[in-house]
Amino acid sequence: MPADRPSSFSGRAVIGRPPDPLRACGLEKRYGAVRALAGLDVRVTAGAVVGLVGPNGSGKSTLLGIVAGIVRADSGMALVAGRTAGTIEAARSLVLVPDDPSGFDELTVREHAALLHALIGVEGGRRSELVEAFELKPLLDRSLGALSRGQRRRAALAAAFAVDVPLILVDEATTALDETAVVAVCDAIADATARGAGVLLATHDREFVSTVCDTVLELRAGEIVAELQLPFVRQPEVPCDPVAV
Amino acid sequence: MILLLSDAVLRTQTRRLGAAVSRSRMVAVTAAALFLIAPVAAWRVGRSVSGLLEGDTATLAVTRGLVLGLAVASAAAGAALGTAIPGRRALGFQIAAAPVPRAVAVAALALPAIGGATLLVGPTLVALAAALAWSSPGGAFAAVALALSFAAAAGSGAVAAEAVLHLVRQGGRSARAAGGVVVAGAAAATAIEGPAQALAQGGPVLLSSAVACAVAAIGSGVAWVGLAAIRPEPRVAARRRPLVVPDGHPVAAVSGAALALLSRAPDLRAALVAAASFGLVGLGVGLAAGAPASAALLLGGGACVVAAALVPLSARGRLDPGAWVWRAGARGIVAGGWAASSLGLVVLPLLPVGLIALVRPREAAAAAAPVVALAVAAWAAALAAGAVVPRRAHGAGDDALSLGAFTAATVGVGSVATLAGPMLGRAGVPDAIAALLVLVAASAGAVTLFGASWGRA
Repeated sequence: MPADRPSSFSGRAVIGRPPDPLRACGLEKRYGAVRALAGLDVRVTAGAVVGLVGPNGSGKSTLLGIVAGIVRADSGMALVAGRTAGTIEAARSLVLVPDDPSGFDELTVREHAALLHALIGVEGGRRSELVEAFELKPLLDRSLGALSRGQRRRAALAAAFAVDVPLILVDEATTALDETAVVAVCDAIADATARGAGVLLATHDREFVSTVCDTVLELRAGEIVAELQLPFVRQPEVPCDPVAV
Repeated sequence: MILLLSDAVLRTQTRRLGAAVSRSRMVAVTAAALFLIAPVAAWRVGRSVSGLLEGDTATLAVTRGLVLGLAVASAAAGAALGTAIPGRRALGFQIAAAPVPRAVAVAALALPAIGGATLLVGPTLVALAAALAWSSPGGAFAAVALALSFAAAAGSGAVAAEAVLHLVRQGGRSARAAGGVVVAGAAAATAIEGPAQALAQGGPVLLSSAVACAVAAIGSGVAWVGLAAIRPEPRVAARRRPLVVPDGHPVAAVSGAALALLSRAPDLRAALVAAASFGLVGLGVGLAAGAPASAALLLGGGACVVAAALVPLSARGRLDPGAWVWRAGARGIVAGGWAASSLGLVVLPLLPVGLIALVRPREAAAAAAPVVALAVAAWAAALAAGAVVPRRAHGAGDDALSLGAFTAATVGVGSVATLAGPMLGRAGVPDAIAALLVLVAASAGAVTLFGASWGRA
């Protein structure tokens, strides 16, 4: 961790208060000559929604990958619910919705969700209502590989929001989704934050972030170039142009 | 947790196999029929060679040479299988982010592959081992040690390849890789020495050599899981050399693009490096053991071809993501271009082996034709297998299933050649002509199957 980080950054819970869903500090990552992240600091508190915006290649997905433990950071530290990202304990505290869910293409939507929930060790309690919200009923017994990208994303979103974990990561939050699914995502995020979960999402949809996010971070070349707090959250008419604001 | 994941991987593989069979019923039925006769063919091959192991001729030097050849081929196969099994990202990012230990994820991906490989080639290898050991001083019981040595050698090959990957990707600084090399060396030595003694001497060494081979197989398997779980990410090339595509030459354009796509993939590049390494090791070990140069070249060339076959096996899977571009060209030209490029990359790692073998030019020339024939046959089998079960380089179980299809195709083609070869000989067809006819037919069939498959992806 760089020496100039605030000493208060311990990531541990203050007595009587649970640790933040995410505290990341000084995250750096390079892919060869390309700098993907350049000393990034991010904090997601319980019940908050933090949005990452920025052009392609600005480091949004890399940040989510590091927090999820899929990508290894070159330096810096990320703590998920007080546990170092990439460890099994941290992985138990988060769930990820990737940009394009693939891998077990031959499993059905139902089987894939059951596998995810069994691995995380939860019941997936709100599964049935999310199946309804994301209009997945006719797709439950179809294999993931046979679905369109939007349908696969709906399946992944429903599986993720059905579990109670401190941190939910959503990559390309609204990509390939129709209007009904976007509304369902908004509702699912509101429900999750009401239960105390923190949400970190990446998107190109600025109208969407202005609707659901408390904080918006604009990334360029792996650095935060603008941070926007949205006090009047979840109101579509709030303008969301971090640079202008 | 490992059973939960393995079950999901197995279900994925089974369904994918079912889909492949329903797409190409004729190919599947033919492959199954050929596969069923493979143990018979292996038994016949084993019995024809077992004369070397009868009575006084079965010296330790002879049995060591025989086991060495089989061990190098098994190690090359193990290296190909080990490097082809993907990391935990193949589970998909959503599952990969779940609390699954890396070693558990790798083991879950590998278990169905190892089980499938055992089911696929196990009966053939057991038949071969039994036939070889039948008349040896060790008797049929020596076959147990010999059969287990195949597993130990495959494990040592997988560990060695994984260690090379660690070394290459970490710039030569990896203590774990050094440990892997030690484990691979110990497993390989056990896989060769134990069965060689069991075949030559029998008696008290039968049990100890079988146990040693079993321990080496399990130990190298565990070591491979440990190394594969922390496999470093491939280095990102700072700058790619631009692809030179001549204007107005569709064949050259397709071949050039295919060559770039195949040779730039990190896993295929690693396979080609491993192929050249195994070729050189096989050649060196053969020469050091006092085998004739032609036999050493055949050993090195065979090991090289087994590892390089990953390239044609992956051709269809690499073509699929850009199918929307390839559909703009004539199907024959696209299929021919990809086939030619993949054949070129199979032959490429043979060049250093051939150059070193030129130290003894006369004997090397004698072995050149069989090695080239082996390369073309393996390329055709891999191209056809990859066309039926594309290796997509992502997704749980993709690699294992494609490698299984390749194994089945190779075993099937080998069985036909073993059984049909003597018949053609008795009918008066010269060996060279018969081999050429078989290779031309196999190549044409593979390219046709490849071309017919990708358009309906």
